[in-house]
Amino acid sequence: MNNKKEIGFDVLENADMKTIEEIGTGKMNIDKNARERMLKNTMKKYEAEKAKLDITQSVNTENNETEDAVTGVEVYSRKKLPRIIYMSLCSAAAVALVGGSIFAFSRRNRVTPDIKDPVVVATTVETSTKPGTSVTTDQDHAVVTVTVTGTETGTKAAATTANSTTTTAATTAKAEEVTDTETAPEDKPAEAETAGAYTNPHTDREDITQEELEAAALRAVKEINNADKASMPELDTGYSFYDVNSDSVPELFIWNSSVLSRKYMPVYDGSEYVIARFNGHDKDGKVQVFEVTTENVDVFKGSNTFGMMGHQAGSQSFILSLGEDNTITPVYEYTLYGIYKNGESTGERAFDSDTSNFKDFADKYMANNIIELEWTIYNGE
Amino acid sequence: MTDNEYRKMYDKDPRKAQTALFDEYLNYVYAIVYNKLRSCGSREDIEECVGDVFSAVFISYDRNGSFDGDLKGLIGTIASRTAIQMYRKLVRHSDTVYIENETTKLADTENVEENAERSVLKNTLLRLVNSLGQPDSDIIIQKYYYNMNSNEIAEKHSMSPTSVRMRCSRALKKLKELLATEGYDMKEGNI
Repeated sequence: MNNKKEIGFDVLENADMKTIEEIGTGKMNIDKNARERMLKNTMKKYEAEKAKLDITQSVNTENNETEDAVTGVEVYSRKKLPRIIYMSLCSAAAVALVGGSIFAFSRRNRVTPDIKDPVVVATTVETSTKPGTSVTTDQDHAVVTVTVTGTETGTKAAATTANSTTTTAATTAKAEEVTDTETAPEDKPAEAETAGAYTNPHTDREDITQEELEAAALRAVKEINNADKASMPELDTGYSFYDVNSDSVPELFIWNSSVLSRKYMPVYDGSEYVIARFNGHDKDGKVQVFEVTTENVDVFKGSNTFGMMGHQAGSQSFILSLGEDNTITPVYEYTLYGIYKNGESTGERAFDSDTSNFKDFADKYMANNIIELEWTIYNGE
Repeated sequence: MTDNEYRKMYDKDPRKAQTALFDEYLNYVYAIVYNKLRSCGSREDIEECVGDVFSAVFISYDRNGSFDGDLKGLIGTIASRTAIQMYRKLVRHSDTVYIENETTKLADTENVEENAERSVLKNTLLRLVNSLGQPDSDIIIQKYYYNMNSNEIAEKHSMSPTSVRMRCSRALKKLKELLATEGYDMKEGNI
């Protein structure tokens, strides 16, 4: 019997910089055509990014001319009385929202009484998501709730594999049950789905202490720090708390100090901080679950919204709203593949070389007062 | 090229400076990106990622007005980070596990042993390949790690493709023997 261990060149993959240098960085053959192709592609990407950068800076400058800069530290303190008032306001807002929705849906149904033949749309849900609830709406804005109970395996499956799929047609008294079929919108490309709210884990516990949150935060920071340091040993990691949704349980913000820095926003589920997720769109306009992590995650003062601004590898930028139950609702989505407002496609696409639509996004983004968080550097202990 | 040299060149002609930097670091960036995407990305994906890297490097300079220190280190960091992002995008559309899950797993104390074993394997393979001497060690890496064909390797070494094939065959046989003496078998899929 052969007890020898097997070894292959795949063991050299995903190596650290020292190993890559040892393998040799000048040994591959990049011919003239490939070099030309890559240089051309680089300059195309650079020009597009530069145009975006210029727009962002220009918008920022305009805002700074008329507004005071927001600096300083937002100190977290648990709120008791304001919470009661806040909940009352939220309840009133919820009643208004439900009433308004029913009214809007019933009006819409009168205009388009006939439903076309259903088109099966496989809503892609990655099972790498932790258990949570994804809400999307179909053509008639009927709410489609998909409960995901997958495990973090990194594989993906269609929504039809979710443990339960229910549909609530919030139109009139008649509620139609739909499983995994949706109807194609008439006024949008068939592929462009509407992204609704994504409910992240949350807690209603009232006995949470700051010590408990600190401990949970350190566990989350440690996990992310270790994962990122495995590939980039020189990284520094910091963290900060800020209660975006005013639910008295602060969200955690984690930051890495690399050149293309990365930020994360985990939410507290009652025992751990878990990365928040939300519904966006993939390149085909299908709803896709994203994690709240990119180069910039900015908190906007005085609202329950926050922004994500990426500048490479996808150029995905978002303005999102975080509900008190950690539900994240997309407000404005700008990617290389499409533009979505309130989860719905505007029908516009944003190509590399076309940044005309980015100004509108940047205007909305920069119009918010971005809070400068105070970071505590994680020292690895 | 240093930070200062780039700045001087950039002040005179930005495009010329960018092209010079691109040419100087193309192999370096390509090697880093290739290392991360070798198993999940196509040649087009790798080239796309290389474009992302240099674009980010140029933007970084435009934003800060300098590279703030070690230029090679900065480019390496951006390349590594961008390649990992590309990896994440690519594996979302395949059955491959996320790199962050892998690294998290490796960083976990329960997998320290596995991590250490992988490191030993990597070092052993590189040590034995290097012991083959030049140009055989380069040819083996080019053939089995970079997946270059005999014509491409021949061009790189100013040899005939036939000579490359012969050298490669002998070097591989020797590598297998060296691995065997250390208790390893070469994986069939890698040959």
